Amino acid sequence: MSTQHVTRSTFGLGLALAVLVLGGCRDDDGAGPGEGSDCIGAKCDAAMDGTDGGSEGDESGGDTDDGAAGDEFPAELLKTCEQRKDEAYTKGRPAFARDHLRWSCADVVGTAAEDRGQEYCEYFAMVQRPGAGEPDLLGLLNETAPSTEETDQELEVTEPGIELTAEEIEALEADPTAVAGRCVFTSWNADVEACSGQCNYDDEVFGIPVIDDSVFRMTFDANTYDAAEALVADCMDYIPGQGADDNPDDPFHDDFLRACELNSVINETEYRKSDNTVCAAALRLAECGCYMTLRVDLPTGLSQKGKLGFPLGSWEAADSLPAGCRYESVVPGAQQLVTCELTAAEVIDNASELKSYCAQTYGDDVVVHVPVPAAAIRCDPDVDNEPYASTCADEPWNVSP
Amino acid sequence: MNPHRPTAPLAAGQSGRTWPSGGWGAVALLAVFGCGHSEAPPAGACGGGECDVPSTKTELLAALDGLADPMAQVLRNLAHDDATVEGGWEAIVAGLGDEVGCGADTESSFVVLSNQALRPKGIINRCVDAPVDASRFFLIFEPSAEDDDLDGDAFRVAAWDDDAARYRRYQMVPTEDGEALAVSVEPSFCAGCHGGTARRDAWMPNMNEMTEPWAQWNAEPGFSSFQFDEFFPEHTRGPVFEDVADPERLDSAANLEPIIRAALSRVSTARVATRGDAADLDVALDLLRPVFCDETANFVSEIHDSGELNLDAVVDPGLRDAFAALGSWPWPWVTDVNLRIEPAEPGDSAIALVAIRGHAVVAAEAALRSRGVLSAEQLVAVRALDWTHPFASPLRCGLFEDAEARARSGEGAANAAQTGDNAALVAALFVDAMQAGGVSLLTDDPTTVVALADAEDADAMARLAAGDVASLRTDLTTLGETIASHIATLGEPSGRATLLDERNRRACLAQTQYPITPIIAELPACA
Repeated sequence: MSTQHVTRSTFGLGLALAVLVLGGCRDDDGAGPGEGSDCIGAKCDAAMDGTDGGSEGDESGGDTDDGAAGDEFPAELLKTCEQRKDEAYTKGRPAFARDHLRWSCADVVGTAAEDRGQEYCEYFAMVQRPGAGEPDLLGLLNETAPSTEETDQELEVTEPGIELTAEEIEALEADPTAVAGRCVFTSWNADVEACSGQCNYDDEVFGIPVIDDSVFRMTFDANTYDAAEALVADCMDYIPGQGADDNPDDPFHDDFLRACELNSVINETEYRKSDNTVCAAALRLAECGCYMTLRVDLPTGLSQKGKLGFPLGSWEAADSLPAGCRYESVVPGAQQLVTCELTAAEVIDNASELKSYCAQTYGDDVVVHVPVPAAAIRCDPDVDNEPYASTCADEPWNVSP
Repeated sequence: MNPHRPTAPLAAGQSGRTWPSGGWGAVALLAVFGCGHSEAPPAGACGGGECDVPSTKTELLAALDGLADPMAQVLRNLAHDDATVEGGWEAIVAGLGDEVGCGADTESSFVVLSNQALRPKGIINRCVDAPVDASRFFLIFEPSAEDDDLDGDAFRVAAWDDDAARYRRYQMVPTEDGEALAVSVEPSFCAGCHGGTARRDAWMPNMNEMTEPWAQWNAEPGFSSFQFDEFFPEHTRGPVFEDVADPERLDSAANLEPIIRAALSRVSTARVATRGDAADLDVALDLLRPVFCDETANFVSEIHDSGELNLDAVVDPGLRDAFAALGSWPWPWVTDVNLRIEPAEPGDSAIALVAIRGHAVVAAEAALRSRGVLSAEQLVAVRALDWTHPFASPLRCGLFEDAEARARSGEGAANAAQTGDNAALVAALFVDAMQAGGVSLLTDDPTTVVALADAEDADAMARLAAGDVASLRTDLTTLGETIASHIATLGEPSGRATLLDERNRRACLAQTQYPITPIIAELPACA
């Protein structure tokens, strides 16, 4: 049995067999792939044509409202989703908590070098060569052409390392423990402007103002406020697959895996820690009938509207950082830009691939936090109509393994 | 005030106090070593079961003469006329903090299960938020020989001497009345654990697990390390441990890791700084050795039972670094940190404590490459030999040992007398080492190498021994793809068992070569 995905609102109207199967990115106003705000990057195209989205669709009809026999969870997708689940529930580093969702800036195993920076967190290295005016920016993404309705975003990446001259090495060796470079981690959304009257015009990193969005802001289309909001909205809006009633081990009965499958169909980003974590929380919020008591909806509330992006912290706390790292305040109190020390000796020894060195040294410990306004969330599970509402706990977004 | 030993261990010696040999003195020495698998200590100031300590401040100052590390200054400041220091380890830490400008509010402690029956050890640092500063000293507590607590008196200090570009070592010992501490300056016995297999005189810190999940380290807050929680021997608590591991002070291994990295960077930078000195065979061999022989080991573990494991367990990090230096490649293994294997079945244990090439060794090798002493191509040529065994390959190390023997006997091509500086001599020794069956293993084409996957492949080894390197030559792209395939194979269901076998093989090897090898649970008996 194949998986069908209809929007929650459509489902509610009794239109379960409507055209929005396969979950694609068509939102309720009929926007096509890549056109609506529900789309995330360029991933929608493939999902719509069903060539690489994990679940096979069946546009002739669906049975998401009848889970007796259960939907099909593709084996390869299940393997990937289980890996994401393992990461999300690493002991001592759970992705879900009452007040936040979180994951590290490190990309998942197997990420191609040019694709690094998938987790609402991009990173690169800066090196100040002795005597040089401007720092080298290593592994920095630059957009060469924005995405359009027809084309994907085009990007280039600066060299991930540098070649030092003998004179430069000698100068750096003169004080090997001096800070000669910094690893930069940014969660400043690619579609958010820095300045709304309170920018920090004073602070610089190796001479580059921290408000320079061409350097310190994220670049990937997927790393935007719109993408984050759409991710929450989509995962709340679309109906996930359903496990077989007579099979308690059906992966669809697992909240995280069910959300991962849904995210795969909607966004094809099952390989990301971030998207699956957010989608799982959003899905459970929807399944449990949750809403905000404030004058904002959940997608807006979770997506950090009005902020530069998701705040960065450590596994220890949302407002602490690994040793050797510090916040660079783009605006007062901002936690979206973090730089970590590289000594002269580290720069020399790892010059050929400093971006990797940054990822290895700090990537696992710089952590993206999604604050959850727990006190402002109320839930009213509809156990009669929502298949997984009966398992809703007090904090549905705090997804249990 | 710290608790003290119930008995007085020190007696006045002719030229200073000594630990009496035999009796508890021998036990104390074991505590000092902290290496459950260590061989007998070498003769020296603290070898042979005795530990010489100055008995007057004049003697102490003489021992400290020329030492420019913070501990030397602390001792100069605090020592009484009889060369003793009062106030216990707290006074020493406070003094060290003052010397390096790091207050008590920056103090952290770290706890690891030792290979002495898993009894905990403790480390104290200051300036933990600034790893480079924090790496200026380490204060280390060993399990007590007298009780189940940490030894609060016979602790050790290592402190960085900027002038000499090396760590200075100190062994504290309690005085006869137990009211003060005496000190042994630069005891020689530390080299057994902290000098690597080559017993280098340059002390370097041992943190046998430098990456998460730090299985035998306390990693809270922020992480839970499964073996630390599971294996911690509850009866080993005591007042010193409780003080050292006070929740206000106790920190995660995650925060010690950058400090150790900074310390290793200090050591490797100092080591490679000799490259420009006039050629000296001993120095040049010392520079070259880490390229071939794994002087130190580290250990990595699966992150709980998730199937995620540090890639260093499978691919030599030096090989990855050298490949990265040679350009852009399509395989994630060049830039990835981790490996994915099939997660453990319910009830199965995580793959824990896989021995890998020591971070200090990799850092020393990287220092040679980054400074142009050896090229990335040359390093790939070494690492391509027995590449499925990134740790402790007898084939690779044998090449170095043969070259060393030739050089020392004057038969090798490298001749110190004819070579300008150590860098040139290293390069010459390298070329001399890279030969088998009388044929060079180096190629004129930088895009090809002589690659041998497994030194236990008798046929390949026979060809190598016969000098038939042509049949083993491959281009870098093919080698990279082969490594990618190897990694992919380990991701299949059988990969877990393969890795476990390899873990066991390396563990047995490590136990014979590396005194710091941790206790590994569920390890089959070694042959």
